[in-house]
Amino acid sequence: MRHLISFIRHHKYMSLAFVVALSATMFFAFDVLSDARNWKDPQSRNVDPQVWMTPMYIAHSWKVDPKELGAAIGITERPRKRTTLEDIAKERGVPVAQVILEVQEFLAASSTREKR
Amino acid sequence: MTDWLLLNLTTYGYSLLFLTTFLSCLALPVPASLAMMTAGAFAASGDLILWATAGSALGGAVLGDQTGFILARMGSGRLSPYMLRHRGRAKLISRAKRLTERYGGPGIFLSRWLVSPLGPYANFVSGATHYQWHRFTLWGVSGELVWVVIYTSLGYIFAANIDLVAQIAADTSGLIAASAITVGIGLYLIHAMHRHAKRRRA
Repeated sequence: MRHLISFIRHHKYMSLAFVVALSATMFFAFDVLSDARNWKDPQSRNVDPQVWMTPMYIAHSWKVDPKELGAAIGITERPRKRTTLEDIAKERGVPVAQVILEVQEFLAASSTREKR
Repeated sequence: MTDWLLLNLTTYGYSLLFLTTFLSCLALPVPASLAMMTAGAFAASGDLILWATAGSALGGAVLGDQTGFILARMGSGRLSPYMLRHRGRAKLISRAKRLTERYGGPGIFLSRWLVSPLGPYANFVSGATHYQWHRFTLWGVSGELVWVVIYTSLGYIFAANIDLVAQIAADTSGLIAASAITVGIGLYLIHAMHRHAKRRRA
């Protein structure tokens, strides 16, 4: 024991670095385990609509027709590539929260349709 | 930062991705793996083109590696008279040189993708110790190719739930890097412990 204490005293910084690195390892290991648990949850399989997403991307994730989704948020033609929900809100002159709400309503409606 | 990047990834597409991987190879804290995964997801939805996505990420990474290597090589020329004047520092330099000579290639390769947080520092060390440029480039480009293919294809395949996949990838990469550092320091300490015990016996 005395041997160990004298060793740690000699290598203060390296011993401290070891403790920090070991804690970080355990922290990440815990996160990976909890991620794996989330992965099993089918509810987490589809993305929540967010400002940076494009209608085409949301349609891809939820397996709905991009054209129908586009129509629900005021795009008459097939959604253009690389246009985010924020771009669409700006073009229409409405808050982005409203566009997100419209997307959510469309997704909710299409999933109940599917169940029937 | 992350939100801004995601929001602009569609607008500036390939050039933003190029810039992100470039900066990440110079040790700047930009979320390069997340950017690659999101771009991969946009390739799956048809917003971006897959080969152009992978190509711009690879281009940025390779150019970033080269920049770090060359900067360190130029800087070391100026620093070396100062570094060599002191015996302790000179010893440290020669040890770093020996290490890169022995483990350089595979070390550079693995620090591109398996322990990617260490990548930029491996570039600086290789440049500063005058590691051969063609070997650095060969191992470096192969490693970056693995890095880019892993992350863009993760995004492409798991596009539907990119949030969760990005979380898992970030945590896994953190776990690998943290364990590598823990093992490294652990080995150093074990080595030092042997020396310590020997000195006490003497």
